[in-house]
Amino acid sequence: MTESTRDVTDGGETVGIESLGNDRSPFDQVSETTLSRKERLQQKYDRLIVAPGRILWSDWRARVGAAIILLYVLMGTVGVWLTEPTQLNDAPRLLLPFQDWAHPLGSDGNGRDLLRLTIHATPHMLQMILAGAVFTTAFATAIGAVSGYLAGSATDRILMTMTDIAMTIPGLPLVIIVAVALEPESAWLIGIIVVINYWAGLARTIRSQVLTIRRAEYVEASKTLGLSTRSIVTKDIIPNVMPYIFVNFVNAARQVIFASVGLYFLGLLPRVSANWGVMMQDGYTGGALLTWSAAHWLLVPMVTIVVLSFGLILFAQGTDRIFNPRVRARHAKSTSDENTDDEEESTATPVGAIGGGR
Amino acid sequence: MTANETAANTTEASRRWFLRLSGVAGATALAGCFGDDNDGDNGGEASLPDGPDDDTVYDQAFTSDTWSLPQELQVNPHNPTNHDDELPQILFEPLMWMNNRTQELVPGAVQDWELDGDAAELTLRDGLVWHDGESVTADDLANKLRSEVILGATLNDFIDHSDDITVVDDSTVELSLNRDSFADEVFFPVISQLNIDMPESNYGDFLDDLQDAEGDEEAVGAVEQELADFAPEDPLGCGPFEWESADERLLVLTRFEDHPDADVINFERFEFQQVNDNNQIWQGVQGGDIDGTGPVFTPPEIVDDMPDHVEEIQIPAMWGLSVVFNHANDILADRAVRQAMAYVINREQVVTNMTPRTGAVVEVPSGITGNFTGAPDEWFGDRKGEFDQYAPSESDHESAATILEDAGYEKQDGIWVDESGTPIPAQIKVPAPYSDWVDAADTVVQNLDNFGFAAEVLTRDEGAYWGEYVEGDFQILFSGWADGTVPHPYFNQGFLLNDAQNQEWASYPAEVEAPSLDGGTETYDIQEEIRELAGLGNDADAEQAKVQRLGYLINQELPRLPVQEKSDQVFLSGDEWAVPTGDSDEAQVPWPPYYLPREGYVYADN
Amino acid sequence: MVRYYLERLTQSIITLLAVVTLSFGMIRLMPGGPMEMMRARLIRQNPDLGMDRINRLAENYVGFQPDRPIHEQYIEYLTMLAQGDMGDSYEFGRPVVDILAEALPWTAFVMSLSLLLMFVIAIALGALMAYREGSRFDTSWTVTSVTLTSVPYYVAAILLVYVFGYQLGWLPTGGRVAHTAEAGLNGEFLVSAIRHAVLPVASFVITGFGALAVAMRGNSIQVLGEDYMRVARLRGLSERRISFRYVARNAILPMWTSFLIAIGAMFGGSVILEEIFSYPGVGYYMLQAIEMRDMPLMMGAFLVITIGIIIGVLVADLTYGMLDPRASRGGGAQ
Repeated sequence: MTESTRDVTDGGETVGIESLGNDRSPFDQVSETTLSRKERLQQKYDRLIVAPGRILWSDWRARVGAAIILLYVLMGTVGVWLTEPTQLNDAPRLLLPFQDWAHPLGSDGNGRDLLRLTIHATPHMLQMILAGAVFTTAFATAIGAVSGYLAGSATDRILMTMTDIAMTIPGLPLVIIVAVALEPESAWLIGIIVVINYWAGLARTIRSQVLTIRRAEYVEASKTLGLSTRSIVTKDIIPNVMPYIFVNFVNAARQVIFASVGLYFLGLLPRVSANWGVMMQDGYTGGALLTWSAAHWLLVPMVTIVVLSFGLILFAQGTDRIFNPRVRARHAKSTSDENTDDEEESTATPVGAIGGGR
Repeated sequence: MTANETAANTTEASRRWFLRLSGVAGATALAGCFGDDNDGDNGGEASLPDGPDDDTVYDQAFTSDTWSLPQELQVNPHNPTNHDDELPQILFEPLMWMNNRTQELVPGAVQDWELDGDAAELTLRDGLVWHDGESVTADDLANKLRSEVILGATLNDFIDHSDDITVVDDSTVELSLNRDSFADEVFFPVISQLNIDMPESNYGDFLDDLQDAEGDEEAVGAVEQELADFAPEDPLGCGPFEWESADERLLVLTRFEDHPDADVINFERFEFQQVNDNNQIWQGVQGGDIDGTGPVFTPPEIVDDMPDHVEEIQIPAMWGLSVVFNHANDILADRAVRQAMAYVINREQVVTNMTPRTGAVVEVPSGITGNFTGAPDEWFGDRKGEFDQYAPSESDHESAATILEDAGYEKQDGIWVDESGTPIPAQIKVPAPYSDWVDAADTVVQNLDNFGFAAEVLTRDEGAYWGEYVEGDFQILFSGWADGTVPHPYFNQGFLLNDAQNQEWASYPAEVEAPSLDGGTETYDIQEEIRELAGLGNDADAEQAKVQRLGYLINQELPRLPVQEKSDQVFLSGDEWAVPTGDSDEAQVPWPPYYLPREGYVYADN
Repeated sequence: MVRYYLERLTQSIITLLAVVTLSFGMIRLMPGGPMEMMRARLIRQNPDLGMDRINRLAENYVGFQPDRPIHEQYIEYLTMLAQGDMGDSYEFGRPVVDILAEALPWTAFVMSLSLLLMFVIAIALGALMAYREGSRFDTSWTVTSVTLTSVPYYVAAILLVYVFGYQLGWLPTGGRVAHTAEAGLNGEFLVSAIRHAVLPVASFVITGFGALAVAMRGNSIQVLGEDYMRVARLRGLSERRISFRYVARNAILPMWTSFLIAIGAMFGGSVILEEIFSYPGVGYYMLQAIEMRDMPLMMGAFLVITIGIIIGVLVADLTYGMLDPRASRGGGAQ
């Protein structure tokens, strides 16, 4: 990550692209004035989209993960457009799945079609995920990047103190209290609330990564050249933390799912009739655990949630490979790391707060 | 008549309240196991067990459920925290029991009761003993009644001063009522809900203080506060089982030999196991951990999956779901709007969705309970046809539209609005943990929506629900519509019209101009009307006429719209126990696990 | 060194202050307060009470005049806290400190056990996967890990209790310890406590080890490709020595942040998990308090959970110092 070019290996094959987002090596750079605007854009496009795309496609985990995510997105857009929302008594009560193809997943205790209910719950969930993940990632990146770049300064200390405090405040209890107090109904707002202090861990990770990058030569070079802080941060640093940002975006998304479903399940958020967590709650209180005739009511949303989380995580795992060639470095001699001090923070797989869930 | 007879003092809602009557989702707890595939049979015929074969007292425990942490439980009836509703029924001696099917009182601590004019006489049962050995005397009974009068409970509507309660001899208490025209069915049920639960050794000082403070509201309030904080360390009861031990999971009571019923009780322990939600209760019954439950809302699928030996007892609750309108809202204060909504709401569909097996549709909204047994028809007599039914089994768009249009409303862009263009408010607030109410709300909203009201369901957690209800911060809200313990319309119509929940929280006026059963409109003074109803005990015809009159008022005015009347479900396990079948008359006494053993209808049977 | 700890102490105090202020504020915003809940309960339990009486009793229950200005209440609460008094729970009528002091050890017990097991399993598994990278072992465990991480811990809890508690009856379905066991360090008590903790711990561990194992795997692979590994091999060090001195140390250190975050996650997650298992720990009481609007208990529990996290992080910090000799500042990596 500290060199201007890398060999990205994939099963031994060198794909040989320029490093992502880093076009500032003093030696390799083609003078920008010699390229036409169109060619520059073309270059960028290749670098940022085509090449990673190809690598993505080559890794089965990214492929499968992306497919799953795409499925849900389709469900939440096309699916909603194609099907009618389900009403009470559309179907006989507690119809079992795979009995009647008009209601493939069966129905709940009030005769609502489970498949359509699941589909129509998707947009709300996608909105929450988007809101929460974007908020978390953006906020964490901003704080982490600035803090890392200005490490040692007063700004850094203040920001890190804030971050530590946010990290220490227990997440789920805080979320519950805020949710009960504010009774949010907008999906965007809920999405942000359920991960309200999740950004702290991410910010720390990003900060340490930035610390690593900060000492890279190309950053030195930029500084020597007199480029503004803002320019350095956006052009040098952020692109190099992209992998972490990306993976953490996915983690945040997963956290949004877990936390929001948990809260809906407990009835702590205002009820939305088409919602996976609420479906779980209804199934649970409707005795899904006690009798097979209602078990599907609980299982359908549970499976839905697990599959989406699975897709997200798998995708993150797959992309990690692209971004971090050192994972494959057992076989290929990769670049050396000069920053042994901060090495402890440059984890190959930034984990975020997956352990145990909040 | 007396200063105490205000809207505030009339009987309020059921002591069996939402929490267990509806499905409480709230705390998620443990999973359940599969039941057998057999049906939980209700038993075709009603039958009672014969009685134990021998005199052995088995070292067996009958386990029931409690929602509190047993180690925190306390038994002071005036201390509202850490209280279990059913425990007093087995630890103490209820004055009387009520059979909800026959609607007759059953003797308890009070063996005999009589009302003659304004003099009531209660005879105490022989042989009751406190668990420390002291006899229960008429003084204990009198003290309990006196404290109720001084503290301003419902009894206060009938008796003015504690001096009106006198002890005649060791087992007789005389009460001097403040009117000579109360009906038996109006007065005695009020007492029946009390227990002999204030032994002098624990409460002697409080009782003295109360008597001293009587008449001075502030002084009484001060004693009341102290009393509310008191939790006796060693709970002293007088029922068939005495307090043994309590920890975080289990409360254990042991058989008290000197209780008059002890000879039909052949098991050593009565236990209460802590539960967090209904799933755990169902679980416990299926798995054999729980032998007798309190009232617990149970969906049909789960009942069907219960093992064969489990008996389900359905007891009419004399209570149910109603749609409460906020009369502080100008549009909802218009009778036409409420009537239109009544036509649009398909009550049958609501009942089918919320309580398919245990609910009855309220056929004629009138504040009279008994939709299971046909009791309303008796009160209606031959005037039933004059009441509006508001299409109980369908969503009658035509009638609703007519009423609205006649009242000046119109449909704009698919939504009904008033003259100024304001849409008719239709936000329905429901407590989130009551799953069957949420189902009902979904149905109602769908009904209203399809007609053209901008309806939506707003769920709130319990604290928020009550908070907003009390503050009047709602448009439409679900709540109960009857008293829930007593069948007489004085209590139920009284609740619906006069209770603080209606008068203060829903802002229903104390005086209202409304159509009269005999034609035309007139002004009703609600409090006065209810008061009169209480005093028609000597004149059955006048009583019936009054009930019809008030019924009509409710029927036309719809201060709240009664939708459903429900039955409570109680389960008894026949595994290692002999229990009556679910349909027996004798089992219709709330609540069976605490009543039936005393009669020898539940006993250990291996 | 001293300065560092002083800084940490100040930060902790600020954190606690933030927690108190936040909960104070949020609680005031909550619709329906303890008075409403008590009113509801009174109506429910005593059908005979008049509204006046209900209001009086509800006020008595709450114990203070609700009209006092917020800042006064705030200062008063802070003063109480400084003296180690968290007020009395409305619901249980006992000092909050007593209730939580009794509950905390149980929560800590489950949390520590979960954390320990989760990390031990994750580290061992991750290293193993790294060593056998590309093998079927590696792939299958990666997939398993990812799948298990996709399951929310509360879903796992429900399923586990269902299978092992109710269906098979092998493990208790609720509570902290059998009520027949006497408290103390005797065998019966300990065994019972462990039996009651198995399912809650399993819920956390089964759904938590996966992500950490994969991270560990990644770290290990990275380390295995390092130059110094080559050097170590060239030097002729035994594979075993290599794995412990180099791989383990260097691969584990990056997990440290995850460990910190996991501490917070566990304590926070206890709120839901203890509810599911009827396990009266701090999380259980907090959720009950929220539902009953029992403010002193709610704030107290929130504080105690936060303190738990602070202590946990402190302990982790100290151990980090032992693990990483490169730690420049006393005890802190970042």
